[in-house]
Amino acid sequence: MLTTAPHLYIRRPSPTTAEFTVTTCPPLTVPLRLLLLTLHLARILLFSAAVLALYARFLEPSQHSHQHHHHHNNNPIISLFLAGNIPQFLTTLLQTAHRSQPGTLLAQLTAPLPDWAVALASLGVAYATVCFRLHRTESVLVLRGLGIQTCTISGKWGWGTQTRFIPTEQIRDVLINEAFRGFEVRYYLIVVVEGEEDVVVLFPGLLPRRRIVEAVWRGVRGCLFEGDGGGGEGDGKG
Amino acid sequence: MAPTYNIAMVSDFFFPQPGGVESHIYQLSTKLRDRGHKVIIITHAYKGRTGVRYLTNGLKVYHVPFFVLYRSASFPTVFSFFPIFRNIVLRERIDIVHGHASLSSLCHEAILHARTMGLRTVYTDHSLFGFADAASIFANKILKFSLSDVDHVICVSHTCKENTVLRASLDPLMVSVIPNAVVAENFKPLDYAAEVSAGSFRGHPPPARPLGPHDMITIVVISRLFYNKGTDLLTAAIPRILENHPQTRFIIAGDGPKAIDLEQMIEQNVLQDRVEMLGPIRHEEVRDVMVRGHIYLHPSLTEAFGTVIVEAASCGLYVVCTQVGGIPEVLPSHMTVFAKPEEDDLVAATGKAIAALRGNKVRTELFHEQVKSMYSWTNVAMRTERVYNGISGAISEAEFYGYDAANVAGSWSATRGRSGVQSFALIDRLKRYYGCGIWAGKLFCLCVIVDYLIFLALELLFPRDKIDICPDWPRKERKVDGEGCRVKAGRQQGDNERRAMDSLDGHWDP
Amino acid sequence: MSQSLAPECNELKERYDTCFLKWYSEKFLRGIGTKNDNECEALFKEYKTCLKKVLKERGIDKLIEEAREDNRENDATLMGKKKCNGNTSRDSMHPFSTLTLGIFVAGYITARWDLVTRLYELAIFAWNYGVVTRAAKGFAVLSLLFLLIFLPVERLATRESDLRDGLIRVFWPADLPRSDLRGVVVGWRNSALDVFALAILEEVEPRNVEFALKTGTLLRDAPHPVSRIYELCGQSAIHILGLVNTPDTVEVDPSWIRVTIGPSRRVPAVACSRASSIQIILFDRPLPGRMQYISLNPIALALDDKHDSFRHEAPDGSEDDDETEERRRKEEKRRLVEKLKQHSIFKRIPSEKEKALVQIVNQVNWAWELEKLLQKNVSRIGTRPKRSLSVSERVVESATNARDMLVVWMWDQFTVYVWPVIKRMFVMGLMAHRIAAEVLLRILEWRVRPKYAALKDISATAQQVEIRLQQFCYWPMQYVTLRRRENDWESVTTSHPDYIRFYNSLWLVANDVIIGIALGSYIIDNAGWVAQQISQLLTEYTVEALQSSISWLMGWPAGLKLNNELAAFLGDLFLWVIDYWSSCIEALRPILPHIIWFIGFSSFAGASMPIALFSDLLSILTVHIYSFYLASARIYHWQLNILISLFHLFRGKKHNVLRNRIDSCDYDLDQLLVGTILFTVLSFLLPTVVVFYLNFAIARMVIISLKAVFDTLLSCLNHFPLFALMLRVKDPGRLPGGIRFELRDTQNFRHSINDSSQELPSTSVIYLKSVPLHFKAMFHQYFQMGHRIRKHYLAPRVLLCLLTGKFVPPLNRKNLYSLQYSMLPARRAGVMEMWNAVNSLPEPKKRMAPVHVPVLANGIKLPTNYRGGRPRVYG
Repeated sequence: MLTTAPHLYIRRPSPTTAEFTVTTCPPLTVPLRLLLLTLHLARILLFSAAVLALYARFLEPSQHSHQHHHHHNNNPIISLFLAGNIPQFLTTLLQTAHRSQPGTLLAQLTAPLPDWAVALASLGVAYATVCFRLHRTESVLVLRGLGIQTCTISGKWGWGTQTRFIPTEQIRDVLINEAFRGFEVRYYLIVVVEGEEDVVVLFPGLLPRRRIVEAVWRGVRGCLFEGDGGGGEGDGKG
Repeated sequence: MAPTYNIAMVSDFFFPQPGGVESHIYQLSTKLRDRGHKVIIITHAYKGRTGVRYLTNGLKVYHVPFFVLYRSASFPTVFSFFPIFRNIVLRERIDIVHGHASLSSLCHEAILHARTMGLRTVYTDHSLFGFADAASIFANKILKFSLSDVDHVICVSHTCKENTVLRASLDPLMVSVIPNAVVAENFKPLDYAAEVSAGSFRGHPPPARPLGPHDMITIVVISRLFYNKGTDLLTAAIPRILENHPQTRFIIAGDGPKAIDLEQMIEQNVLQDRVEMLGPIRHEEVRDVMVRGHIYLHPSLTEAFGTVIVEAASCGLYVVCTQVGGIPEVLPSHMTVFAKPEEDDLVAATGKAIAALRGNKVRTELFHEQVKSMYSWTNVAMRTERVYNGISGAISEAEFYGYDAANVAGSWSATRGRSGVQSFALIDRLKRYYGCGIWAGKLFCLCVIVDYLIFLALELLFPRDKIDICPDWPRKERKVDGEGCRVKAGRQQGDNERRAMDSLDGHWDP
Repeated sequence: MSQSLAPECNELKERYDTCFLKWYSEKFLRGIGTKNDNECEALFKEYKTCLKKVLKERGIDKLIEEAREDNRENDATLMGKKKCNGNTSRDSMHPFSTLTLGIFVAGYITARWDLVTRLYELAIFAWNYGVVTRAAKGFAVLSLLFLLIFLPVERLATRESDLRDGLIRVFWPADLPRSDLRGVVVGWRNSALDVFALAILEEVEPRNVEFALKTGTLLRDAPHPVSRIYELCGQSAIHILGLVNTPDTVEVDPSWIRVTIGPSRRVPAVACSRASSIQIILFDRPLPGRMQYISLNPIALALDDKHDSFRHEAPDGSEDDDETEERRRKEEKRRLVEKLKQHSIFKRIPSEKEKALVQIVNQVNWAWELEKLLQKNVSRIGTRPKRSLSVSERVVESATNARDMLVVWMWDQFTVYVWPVIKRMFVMGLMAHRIAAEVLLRILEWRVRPKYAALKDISATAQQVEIRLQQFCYWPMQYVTLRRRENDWESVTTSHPDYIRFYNSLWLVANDVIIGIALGSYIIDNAGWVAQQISQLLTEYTVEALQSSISWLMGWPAGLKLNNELAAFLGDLFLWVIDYWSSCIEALRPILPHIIWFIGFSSFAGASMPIALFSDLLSILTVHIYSFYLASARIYHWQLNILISLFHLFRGKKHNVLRNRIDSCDYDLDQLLVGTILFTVLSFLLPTVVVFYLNFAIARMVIISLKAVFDTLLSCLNHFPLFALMLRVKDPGRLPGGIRFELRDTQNFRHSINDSSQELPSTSVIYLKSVPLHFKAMFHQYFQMGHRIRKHYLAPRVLLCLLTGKFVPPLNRKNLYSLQYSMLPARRAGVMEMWNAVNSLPEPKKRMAPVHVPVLANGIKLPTNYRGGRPRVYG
């Protein structure tokens, strides 16, 4: 439901420029959007819960300061934020959250656990929620006269996007090869780069099926090399 | 029009490693391709040779990464090969799995899994085994295990057939003998080309070159220097031969653990000038070494077929060989001098051969033509194809096995293999395996059941429609004359990547 | 192919035909042929000469000549037709002129009757002897050749041209001012349809701009030589590329582009009459003033000539076997790559556009500065009313001028009288230091024999001193190069890595000294306590711990039943040496505080110095453990060897030393007997030796790891890429790690074009961005060193050495420190070079000069203009 088998999108504004995107993200329909939204919300909640647990267990100031803080309730928080006093704002926010209903519930939940367990668990949850990624997208951008650029979006919010640009005069050839991978034999696209000892594998993360690979191969050949036969077929596919 | 098959040759032994089995597989596959079948070869990964390779003429080789145990025989893990094997079979749409060499566990596993997947299986045995020592007992058990559910077995010689039938307790009817062959073109005598170009009329013998009493006679030995190749015999025999016959010298090619003993022998009784050790040579150099000699000495202790003898004879050498295994069937008696596998007899036989040559009693220059007429790979391929037809029911089993067998067939074909009707039903297979022995039978049944369960699991984990069907190399149309150009082993190694890529592009070019 | 006309030319023709067909089918049909396929050209020439000869000797050539002649004049007439079909004079000729022509012809014939008859005879003769047919053959051959050669070339040419016409590539700075005024786009024209926009000159006439470009007005009073621009951007001139916001009614050169921009649209709309598809590549211009730039390859923080030189330099001993192994793997890889090279579906000759990429990167780096320059000189184009200054401005300007004058006068006085003296003195001092450094370095690098270890290889302190001295020798050179870049254009990006390295090393030294001062003051303050601590540690670990362990080994350790006599002997031996050593330490104790004080004092030269000293001190004070380790290892190793050879004797084999192999050999009975007895005895004595050996080996390993910790500290202090990190955080544009393209959606943009009722060719909008350097790349050196250390110490080889009692070779210092040297050149500049370099420094006067001349030139306030471009040293 949330992810599909890798499939291909082709953006080709002009016959000399094309971007082949292989992604596991299904076309975004309204229910899917809603689902993803809820997913993100849940993730944010989890993250905040983890942070709160950490705070409550380790950074919570002693009790009497509670009362002191307790008097001016949460309207100054906003003023603090507007005043730009961010750390103060955060601490107050955390305290109020901690003293709120779910905060206490959380505290009760984590109460029986020993410190190291809480620390490990909450840190792990925080890490997981931050680095959790649902879809994987890899793309190849082909510009005639310039070169090929591979792009792998590894992070969820587009961070950790690794790109690699290969100028055309360094490209020896683009080919399809097959090799053992795990328990199966897969087809994959490679770019043979002039004067480099390793070939560059396109779509290294999710090796798409042969149909997609061939479509991309045709497209790339047609788009990259002027007057090369395979040009026509690239368009219709995907 | 006879049907064409997708055949997978499975063996641990293949190029770049030199040897008889390797060249057998290569030649057979090439000829089968020429006859319009699709052939792929599955072997384990050699050093610097992993993954999928295309040989010249588009023979596709899967070098499956595996752990190598001994003499490039991969580690016998019963089930670990199954997932990759299934994947390959499905993506290549294989219908016949053909295993080679009884020492290769890859082959046995492949046969087991293929039967589980419901494919036809053929097994070719290239080697002889004793029944005494523990190793061969173990090997025989393994063999029995994998052969108790195989469609058909091919042996390279009748001795080999007897041996195999005894070891695996098979029905002799489902074992057929198809000898090896040689590509006579690659093993011509030295002066052969000259006389052909001179346009000598066939049938009549080309002029003999007489051998004077004082000419140097060269004895060639080409074999891997292992115990079973009789290297110890050779080490003992060489000094005596040399001292009996002053005008002789040895050329020894090949490598192995016993090479050191030979060297030591040479150094002890100073023979450096009369014995030349070439070390390991490539398969395409064999002919160039052979034509330097007059006599080929083959002191092997056990030999199923001995292709190298045929090659030697084809090079116009007079063959001295031990009378073991399938060797006597290989060559007509006027080409060979036989010896019992012991030192004195070997020396004597060699003496006889030398005398015969000196007396110009043997017409070695005729050998090439005769061998050429006797052995051709096309013939082998045709006979193998007939086996395929038989097991896949393309020709009636009556025709395949002969009528008498067909009459009896009805009674016991359910369990013992009558290939046309051989059933893949698990229960039948279990019956067949159960007969293998008191404990072994139950153990084998267990293995088969586990294998079947793994198969089901794989069907769930890697469904068939998720596996890409790979495009066929354009098939050749059936050729009448078989002898296509023989590509040397060395050539292939250089070309592989190029071939692979070319072939892919060639296939997908619009 | 058909037979040649002359049989003797046949095989030439064959050769040529085959060659041509090959070319046609393999190159041309794949669209990669060039117009002049020279290999066939040569053959064709041969063939033609041969054919010519034949024709001549058959007398055909004259006919062919005639044929060519009248062909030509036919062409001429046709041309003439084409030319003057505007006024139809030829077709309707004036009757009188025809009459005169007829009269003339008639008169001529009557006058030269004999000539006419001879012509007539010649014609008859020719007809009889079949000259005509031969001529016809000649025609046939020639036309065949024509078909074979010229048509393909023609087709090729046309194909090329329309291919080239397919795609136009426009590089457009994304941050150009977007006004909807009319204007002229000027920039580089890298190839016919590959243009690079530099600036939009607004409200000017194209011809004026053209004129200005020709006369170079637009580049006038550039701060630095203009030729530099051209040589770096790889173009000979700046061209007009097109017009901005011009109505379509205006007729423009077909190779020009029409650009429509406006404050509203983010992406310019480009149209070109000759292009069927368009790539617009937008980029943000890097600011040269901030030393931002883009580059295809990641910026190199380390000088790269180092490592291979180290490789070659240290091929000695045990270090190299993993080096060689690595090299072998590389070799194997290379062979595979060669094999890969064999494969090529077809050879492609890269087109102009593809080769232009490097230039384009340079042009991008230059874009900002050039645009500033052009915009500054726009005022000079055409007839634009020169704005006269208002009164107040005049006042201000005169005032500023006066102040400037004063300043300039004082500055001149200073530069004339004071500055040279200061400079001279400084240089002298510098050179003196340099010479002293040279002497020291010579001492540190001196080797008794070329194979032997120099001082710097033995002791960490010497190493550290040497590194500092090297840096000191390198700084002036770096500084000079950096100063040089000040009187060149700022867009010259070659020296930016030098800049970063220079300041990085300065920063590191500064930090080092700061930390060192803190550390040193601490150590000096309580040197006594530190000394006492150290001596206590010494006695505790290097003496007592050892003694206790040895005595533990002497009485059966862990229930392990050793041989008492041997254990007692070994133990007593070691204990005795330890006692002697402890007495030495006792003698050393009183002077320990002084040493500590000295160390503390030395640490004012940087915290790395005391660390190095400590590491050396450690290796000195534990020399006895080292020697124990060596001794026990030696004994153990001997015993193992004896055991192995005896075991061979057991198996009736022996190790053949000459052939270096195991031979089988038959021993006599007594030999076997003695061998067996010895074998048993030794194998029973083995455990005793093993435990002692292991004991010392472990101690040795501990010390080695301690030293490794020290070395790591040192390398951090010497090489941590502090400056680069800070730059990465502050301004990623200064650490380019390559480029990256982004394909933008063009749909909405296309719509906006369509409703402006102008049919555009298919356009793709691409953003060119610079990728900042990865953190991994910054710490690449560290990873390399870590990898090397791991490969050296955590290898099975080391374990084997430990087990067989061989000496574990320490990691070659050179390789360990290649990291630290990677900031230094392979060969340090000699004294004289430095002298020349320092003297070749540019005079500071130069820097003021360009500011002043133009101030008086015209009324634009130049200092403000200039401040935009002057290099500020950031960080």
